[in-house]
Amino acid sequence: MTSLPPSANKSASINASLHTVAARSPFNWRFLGGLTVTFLVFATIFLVLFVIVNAAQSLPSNQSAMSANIWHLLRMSSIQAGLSVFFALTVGAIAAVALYRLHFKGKCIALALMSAGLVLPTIIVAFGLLAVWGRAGWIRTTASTLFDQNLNFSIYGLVGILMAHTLLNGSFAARLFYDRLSSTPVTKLKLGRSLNLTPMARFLYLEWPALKPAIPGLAATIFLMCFTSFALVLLLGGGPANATFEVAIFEAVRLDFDLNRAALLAASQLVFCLIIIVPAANWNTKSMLISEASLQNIWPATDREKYVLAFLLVLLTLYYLTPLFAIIQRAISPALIRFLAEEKFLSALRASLTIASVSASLTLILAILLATARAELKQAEKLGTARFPRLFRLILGTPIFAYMAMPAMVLGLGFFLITRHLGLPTQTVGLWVLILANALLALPLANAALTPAYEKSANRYGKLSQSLNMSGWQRFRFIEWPLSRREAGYVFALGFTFSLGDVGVIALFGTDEFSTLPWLMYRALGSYRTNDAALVAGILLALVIFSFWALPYLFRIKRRA
Amino acid sequence: MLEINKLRFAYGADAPSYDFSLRVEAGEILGISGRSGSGKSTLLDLIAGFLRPQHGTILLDDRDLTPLKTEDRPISILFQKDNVFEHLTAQKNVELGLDEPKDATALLAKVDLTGFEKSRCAELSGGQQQRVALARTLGRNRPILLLDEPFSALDDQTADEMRQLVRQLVTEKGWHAILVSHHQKDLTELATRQLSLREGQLHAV
Repeated sequence: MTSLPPSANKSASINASLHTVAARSPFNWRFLGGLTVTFLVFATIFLVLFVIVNAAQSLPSNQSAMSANIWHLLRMSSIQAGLSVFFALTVGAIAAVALYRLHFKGKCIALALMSAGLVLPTIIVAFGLLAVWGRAGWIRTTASTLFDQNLNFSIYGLVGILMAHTLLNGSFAARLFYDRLSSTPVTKLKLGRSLNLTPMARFLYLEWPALKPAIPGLAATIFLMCFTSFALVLLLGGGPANATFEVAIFEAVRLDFDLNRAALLAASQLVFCLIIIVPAANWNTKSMLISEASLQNIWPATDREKYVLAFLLVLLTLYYLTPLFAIIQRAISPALIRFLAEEKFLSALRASLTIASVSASLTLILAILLATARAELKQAEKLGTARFPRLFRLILGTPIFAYMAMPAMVLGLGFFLITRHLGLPTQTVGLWVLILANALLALPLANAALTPAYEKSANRYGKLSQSLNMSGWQRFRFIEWPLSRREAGYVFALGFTFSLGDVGVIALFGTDEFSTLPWLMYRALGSYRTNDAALVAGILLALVIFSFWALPYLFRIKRRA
Repeated sequence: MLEINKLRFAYGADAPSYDFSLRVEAGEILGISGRSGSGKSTLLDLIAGFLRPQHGTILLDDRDLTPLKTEDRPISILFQKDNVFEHLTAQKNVELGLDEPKDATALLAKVDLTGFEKSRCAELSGGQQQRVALARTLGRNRPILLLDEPFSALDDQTADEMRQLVRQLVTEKGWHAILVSHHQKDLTELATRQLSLREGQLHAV
């Protein structure tokens, strides 16, 4: 037998490796892990849906009044959500462009503050806005003291809702837009500057093309968040005229104990949300964290442009920070020490931290499983071995938006009905529903942070690790985890802080014995104990900001592989 | 004549510094070779004004360009990639950056792109995109042309055509061109004179 020359052997080996790579099926356990998550989320949704629809079918006779109420809720929710999207995107784009073009000391702090806007509890924002713009707020007090003017405006109603939504979602949009602008290739900046583009031409030809692709997904996300808004509308809505479905469901359960009405409202909300979710699930998400480092000082703003942008940025920063300062100012009082030792506070703190830790871990696990599956799918698409890639991308994208289709209140109501039906202890079930709801709540952003890191790793090392026949676990341990540790830390912090500030499901399950910090604050506000509410708000704000800043460091500790 | 006199730059207090001195006559293409990280792109960034030198001057026909901002300097640049805005048409790309309205169709015709005026640059090949950028450079007609490895991403035949086109334009227009590249073929076929960049300084080849 003639032996092959060494070069031929090498070539045969390379061909065999390539063949192995090309023949690899996307249906491995890593892909199946993501599909299992999708299946479990679907199963949960269908279970809740089944229970809610069943309850809704036994509706009492006054159906015409009910349908009129649904149309009113739909119209008002859509109007406020649509306007919120417009203001949030406008404010976000202005802030992002200003931050991108201006260079100043403390810019990293401004960016960190903007990121923190993502996780600020809505109940705190509402409370902070009231402290600044409310009847006894800073603005009115200042106007009255300095100018002897009684300002005649009310923050309650649509204006208040829009102000709060713009503050929360504007900072979210600004952070995302800023990352997209930062990804502009350096050569493009050099080219634009060498062509002496005007500030407007710079926006039109360089910045707008970078921002535009993010707008549909971002607008859908913000729309749904505002459409299903609860705590803000409850505190600032000013009555039924501006109620959302979430608030109406809460009132039906907690105030009227009309579970059938709640079920019908929940079913209606589900339908409207799904109409928006289904197309949105197939939109590509872009990285929120990963961006190429670009030499931004290569093209700083010119003099006049600099002053205009700086003025706008200062205005937006003041609008963003004053409610937070107002909370801190009201929380710092001699009563704080006494309050920290109270059992009801300690019990709520324990519950909040436990729920936040477990739900953040769950968010991270779910996001990793989904990101791994999407990376596998992308790799298979690249190699041409993927079957029905669009369909599977759609399927894997659905759990990411599950929470928005089935927000806390609907999920909570479903489990509330199951709990009653089975005669289970509300408090125990409530704890797990809170964990699950909060994990799903953080999933869209967790996915946006993790998936690009996994896809990038698959692009760079997918073929190599496959040709080396590395197992899924080895790939995760030696390649994906080290490369995505930073994003994982961010995801955990996000899940933790989201959960810490949530006031959705707890509104259905909360009792005197089972309370979290936001629920404790809401109850204090409801019984006009605003000083206690201010103390909880201050503590919650400090906890959220500290956790969001400190938790990612836990994931940066390097271990020897 | 383009004169660079004792131009000094360092990226930080402890970083090694670069010292550049060179002259380029009108119609000349000066080739600069050097290993990755030797400072070739730094030199171009200094001439373009993206970086500010700590010392030295850049003179064009005795006019000092050193204090000028990038947008005010009489330069055109061709990078290895990203020379065009892919979402815009070839015509719009040529029109961008022109000081006065010019016939973009005629400029595109000079680089053999007749009929591609309304094509989005994303639909064009890498070589065609470089030609669009060259048409714009032609329209701008700035006396300094900086070439930052502009042929590296092209296939051999397209690169040959582009080199020929660039040589012809530089000679015709009397531009002062500086080409940095680590591809020997680019340097030998295009440059009229060569320098090598080693340890932050230029040396004759």
